[in-house]
Amino acid sequence: MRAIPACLTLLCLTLGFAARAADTPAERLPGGATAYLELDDLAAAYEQLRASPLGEMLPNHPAVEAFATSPDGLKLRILRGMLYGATGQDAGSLLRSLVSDQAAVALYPGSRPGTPRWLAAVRARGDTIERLLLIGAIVFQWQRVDLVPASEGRAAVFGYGDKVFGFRDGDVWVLGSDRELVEQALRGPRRPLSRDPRIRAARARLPSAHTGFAFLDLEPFAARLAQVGKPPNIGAALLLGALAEQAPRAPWLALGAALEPADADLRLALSALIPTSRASRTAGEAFAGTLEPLPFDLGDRALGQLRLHRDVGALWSHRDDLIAEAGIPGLVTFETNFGVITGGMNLVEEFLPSLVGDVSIVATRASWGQGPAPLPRYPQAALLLRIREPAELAPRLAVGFQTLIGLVNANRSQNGQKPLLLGSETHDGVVVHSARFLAPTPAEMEGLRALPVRFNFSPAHAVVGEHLVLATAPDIVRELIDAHGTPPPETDAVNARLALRGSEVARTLEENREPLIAQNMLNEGNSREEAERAIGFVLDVARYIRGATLSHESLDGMARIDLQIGLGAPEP
Amino acid sequence: MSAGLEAWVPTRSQPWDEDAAAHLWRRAGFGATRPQLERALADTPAAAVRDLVTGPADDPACVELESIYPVLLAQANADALRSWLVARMIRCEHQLREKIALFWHGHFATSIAKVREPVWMSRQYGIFLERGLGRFAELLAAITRDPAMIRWLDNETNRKGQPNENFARELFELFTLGVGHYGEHDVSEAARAFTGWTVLADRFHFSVSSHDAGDKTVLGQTGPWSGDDVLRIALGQAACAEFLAGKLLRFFAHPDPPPELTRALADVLRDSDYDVGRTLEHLLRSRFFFDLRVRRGLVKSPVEYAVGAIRTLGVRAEPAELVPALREMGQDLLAPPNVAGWPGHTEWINTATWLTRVNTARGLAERLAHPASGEAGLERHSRALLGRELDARLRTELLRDEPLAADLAHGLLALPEAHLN
Repeated sequence: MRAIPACLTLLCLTLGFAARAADTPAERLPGGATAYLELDDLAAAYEQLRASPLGEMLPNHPAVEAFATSPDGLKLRILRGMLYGATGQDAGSLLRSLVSDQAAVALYPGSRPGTPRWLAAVRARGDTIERLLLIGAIVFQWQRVDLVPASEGRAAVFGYGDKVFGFRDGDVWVLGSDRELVEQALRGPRRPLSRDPRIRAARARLPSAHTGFAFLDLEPFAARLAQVGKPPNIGAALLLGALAEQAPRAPWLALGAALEPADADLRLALSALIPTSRASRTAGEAFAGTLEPLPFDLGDRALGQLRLHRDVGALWSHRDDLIAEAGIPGLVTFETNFGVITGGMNLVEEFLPSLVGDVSIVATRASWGQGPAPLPRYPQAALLLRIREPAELAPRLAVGFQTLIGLVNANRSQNGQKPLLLGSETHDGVVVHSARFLAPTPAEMEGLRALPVRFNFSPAHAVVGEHLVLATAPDIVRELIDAHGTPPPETDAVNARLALRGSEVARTLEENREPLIAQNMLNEGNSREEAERAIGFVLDVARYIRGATLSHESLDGMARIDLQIGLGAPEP
Repeated sequence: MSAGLEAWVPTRSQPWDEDAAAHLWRRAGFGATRPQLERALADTPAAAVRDLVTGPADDPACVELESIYPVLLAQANADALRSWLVARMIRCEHQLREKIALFWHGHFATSIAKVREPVWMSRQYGIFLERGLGRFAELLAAITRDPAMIRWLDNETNRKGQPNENFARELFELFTLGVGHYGEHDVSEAARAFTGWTVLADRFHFSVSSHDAGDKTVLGQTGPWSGDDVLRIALGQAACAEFLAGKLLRFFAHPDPPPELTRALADVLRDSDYDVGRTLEHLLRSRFFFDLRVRRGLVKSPVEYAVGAIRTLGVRAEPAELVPALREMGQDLLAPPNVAGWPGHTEWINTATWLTRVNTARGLAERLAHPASGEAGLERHSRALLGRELDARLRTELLRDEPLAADLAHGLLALPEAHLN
């Protein structure tokens, strides 16, 4: 007996939910769309961003103030003024009244290719939509016509010229370019777009679709996408992995976006999702799997990290299938030269089979202490490859490194360029081989306020634990030696990840303020003042970015790329 | 001094007007902005020429560009340095200094393709900027010691007992005397004088042990000559002044100057102890220079065309974007095609370079800072670019179909007249 009220309650809730679900703007849009966009609570996201430290900084920034007085800024102000005059609302209020709940828009095939029809549904408070339609009517000289009178339970359909049709049902407005579509929405579509199985499948796998969700049917573009070729070289193939093969064949693409609090900060999350057909055997061998833990914890020193789960040996074996034809001859040359440089080590028979696990590139900010530093000041980076039998391979790889530097020096000397001096050291029991440029001559330094750019590069090599390390400077090799230990656990089962640490990126950009200003003056033709303002804006915004992560994950039958950006107050 | 070098006096049929002032600025610089044109017209032609030669006391735009020069040197990026040179040509007020530097860059043609050191090339160009309007003897001495030049003409391998004649040959043929005013023996003897002139630690270095200190006979004079002596002997030849005068005339005035004019200008050069600034001042205020047959008598180089369009029409320029366009139009700064430099004049135009000019013009026309369409726009742009209004037929043709401001400007820039200096 006591269960009956519970059942009744449950039934009421379900009915209530069902009634509410049918009333959402998105439920009004019929199926058959080629593109679909849904915004949920965008106004709340906008308010969160406005209230954040970045949102508070932006309006008062000198660059933004300068833009406001520029010709483009003036046009924007005039537009805002017109909207205010017509609607009585500023931009924020307008946004809140238009998209405070849900807004959805879809594109449908038109009668001619390239001329799609659109349909939008939005829950809007007040008379904002009416006022906007009135502006449109005045500006574009539309004539308002009542097309379908209201009847019991149905709203009236109006038209503006033959451009915009629509109806209002309570606080839900439906507008579109095609009368037939609007009337379908009025009748209530039997199969709403939001219940399209593809869209449902996408939403289920897009955790970050709270604020925005978009869906694009790629079938109309299949012919064009089929022309997308293979990656042009091995670097691109390594980077793109299986996506190079899967993306052009994907039947649809879904995107999700969310802006949500994360502790004291805000997190912007964007995701892209495609269904994947069964990967080719070659791509599967070369690219399938997830990242393994990396036994180097650089902590606060890390500026960025790119990690790719790749079987380089399999990629090499299947290079004809996975890389464009134009990129193959270079690999043949590389294979020949590899043997020459390493004193006879066979790339295919000896080196590639020794590689295990992931390809990783880590970067840290170079520290120059009190001494002169080069301009621009580049971060230092290291490529890490896990290898089998490191003790056996280490000396042969060292020979290869030294030979390579020797060849580089021969070439540079022939061209009258500065050579590198080879050296080695032992750091915490690990031998580090490196090469550095000799100090610049006084004549070279005349008129310079910094070291020439080549001093960013002192190639270095070591075998640290089970990892072959090739670096742009010995400093980062020493840091890796010091950071070598028990790997932090991998929290995400992803195939590839790029992570950047905001504070280190911001500091790197700040160190390069002068080169960035010079580049802006020459690339954009700006005066020094304009360039300083533009670069200052970029540097100031960068300080508010905590970090960013881009990752690629394979789900069952789907591939997802996630971008997360953390926003917060600048670190001291 | 005559033959057309006497100072021009404006007349009613040939007044000191916009066309004349624009002609002066196109040749002595890269084109005048509206304020510069108005300032010139408010003065006499001689005063306007004087201003071009001496330059302004204050040049804030140039100072700004100088401020980023050390950063660019450290970067040692050739294209960035090229962009900087283009930015100077666009923004620096002392336009004749920029123009004469470009002239010397073509005269002492040195290419980064062989030198390989962007900083050396940049410093060489700095010599042209610093000394271009000064005494030729000092410029020549500086260039002879320039590391980029030494490497370019292989003087690093010019040693006692194994002389390399490249530099000595080009010194006579291309830098000072011209063909027919020296012999093979002069070249081989001069090469001995320059032995040991090399580069060490990025600087000019005179290697005593590599130098042939014996007697040489160069252009009829015998002695234990070193390089500086050879330069002195070359400058003392009558042919030197005529050779340089001819080159200055062909660059600034006329593709085929009358011989008597060349001789007259050579006299000015000689009498002023090879003072290039003073010589140019004579030329630029001369009756010959302002003759109507001389105006629009030279084909603009790619740099003159593009930078001229930017300055006269007021285009929001992006110097870095211009560099590849200039290359495609046939003028790759810091990389002249060979030791003879760029041939210039009608050699700038062929089917490929013409197409690139027109395409570049499109890009520039879309970035006008103050776009203007219709009759008023056409008048304003044509006066700025061409120094005159168009005839009725051309106006009608360009205004047909009511073109947008960018289309109008593009139409003007595509006119053959817009490619003439």
